[in-house]
Amino acid sequence: MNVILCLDDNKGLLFNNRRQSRDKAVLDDIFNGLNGEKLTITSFSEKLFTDYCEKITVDDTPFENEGYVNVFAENLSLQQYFTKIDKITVYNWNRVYPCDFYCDVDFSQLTLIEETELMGNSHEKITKQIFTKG
Amino acid sequence: MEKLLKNKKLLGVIIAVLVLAVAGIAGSGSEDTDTPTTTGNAVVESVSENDVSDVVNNNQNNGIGNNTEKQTENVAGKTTESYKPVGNGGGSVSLDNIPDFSGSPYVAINGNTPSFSANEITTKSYESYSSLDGLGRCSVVIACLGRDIMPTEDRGNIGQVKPSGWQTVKYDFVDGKYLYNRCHLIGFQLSGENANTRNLITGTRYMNVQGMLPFENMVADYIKETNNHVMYRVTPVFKGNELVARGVQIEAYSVEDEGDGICFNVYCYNVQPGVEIDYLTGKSSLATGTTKAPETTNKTETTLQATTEQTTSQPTQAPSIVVTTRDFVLNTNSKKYHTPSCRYANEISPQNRQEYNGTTDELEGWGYVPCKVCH
Repeated sequence: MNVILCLDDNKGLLFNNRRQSRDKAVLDDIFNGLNGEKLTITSFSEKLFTDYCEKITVDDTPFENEGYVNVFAENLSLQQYFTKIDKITVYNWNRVYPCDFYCDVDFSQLTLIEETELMGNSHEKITKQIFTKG
Repeated sequence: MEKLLKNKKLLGVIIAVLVLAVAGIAGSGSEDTDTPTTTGNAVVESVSENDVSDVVNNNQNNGIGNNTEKQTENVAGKTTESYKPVGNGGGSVSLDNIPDFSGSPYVAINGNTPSFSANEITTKSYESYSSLDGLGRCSVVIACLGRDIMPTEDRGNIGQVKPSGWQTVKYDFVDGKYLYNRCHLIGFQLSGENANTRNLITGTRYMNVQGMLPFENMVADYIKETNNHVMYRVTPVFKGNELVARGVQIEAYSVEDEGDGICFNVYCYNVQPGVEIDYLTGKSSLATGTTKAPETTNKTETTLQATTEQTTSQPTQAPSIVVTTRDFVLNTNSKKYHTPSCRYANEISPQNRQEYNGTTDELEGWGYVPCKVCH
């Protein structure tokens, strides 16, 4: 399973139950990389993907169900499902935002295999990193 | 006929009283208020502290407050509550309700729910800055932030501004070395306000960068991405007659999506780990257990050098002119300043007496005049 995350410099995801940030360029890049495969999101993320309805599947417990290949995770603890994850794609905002909910993945257990930069719609520079196990 | 004349006179008196009353109401509303200036769709205005207080008080009685709506969401397996903010016209916070600093640069207050009232919330960009108080301190600032008032040019020099309690002092262990920054209440990246004395306070590097900047970043990027508006209020919180704020309260609420994107109410601590601050004067010293002494103390510096830093509330660059400061005794009532040895300084009542270390330029900039006996 490929898990896709957007993180700030402190591995932050949310503040006050709201995503720290968003960028249209990230969404476009996500779907460009899926080659037509569907993206699974939780209902928390639905409003973010209103322009991509036909390309998404909504499931609030994606790690407890089989068959999902790409999961966009904003409000989920990941460490407990670590065995099910093969790859993690991180979009780093290169900023510090307020945070009260952090990504709990220990990235030292993963290998960085690719790092690229993209210019965001509202962010100067977004760093995309792809991690795999082993 | 005589009765008719009497009635006419009475009617005339009533009309005159009504006209005077209406004029008086209109006059009191504009007292201490500068004429707003308009730039494009954005309105920039200055209001006195009293004006803002009036707005707050009115909003508290508009029947809208305290109707906090709660929604439940499942985040990370926990049931948490998010709040749809509806105003009670707040914007002020009591230090009694703020927990002591315990290592986090900010803390959520009032359930992270901002207190904008319905009649404050708008989609027309504006900024409003309170007048400085008798001690030269900033007060609440409020804005409806939008793309149209965000800066299009780099920030200019703000070194000429000396917020209340300003001291230039360096510690080796402080990021950037300078303990204090001239902190924008509404960050430059949000409103493009540069050297506005009503928008700059003496804030620690820690509060500026660790406390306020992340919130400014979040709001700025949200506005750039969505073109929505964000209601934004910053309230510096002072204790008594202290010249340096203990912290700032920041409230924000995204308008078009009713807080779905941005919604918070936080307090940022004006502290610097490792440094003890005398909030009355701005003087500082090493905290117990910290070993490195400050590089310079008891000096006020004037910076003429421009800064090119991008973020909203960065410190000024290395100073090019150094002015040694002196001790004064202020009468906050008569607005006179005295030397400590002046016989009139000893006659100031305790409630009006304020000791201050700085320059006469600073004091006169805040409206103080020298005592004719000692100066």
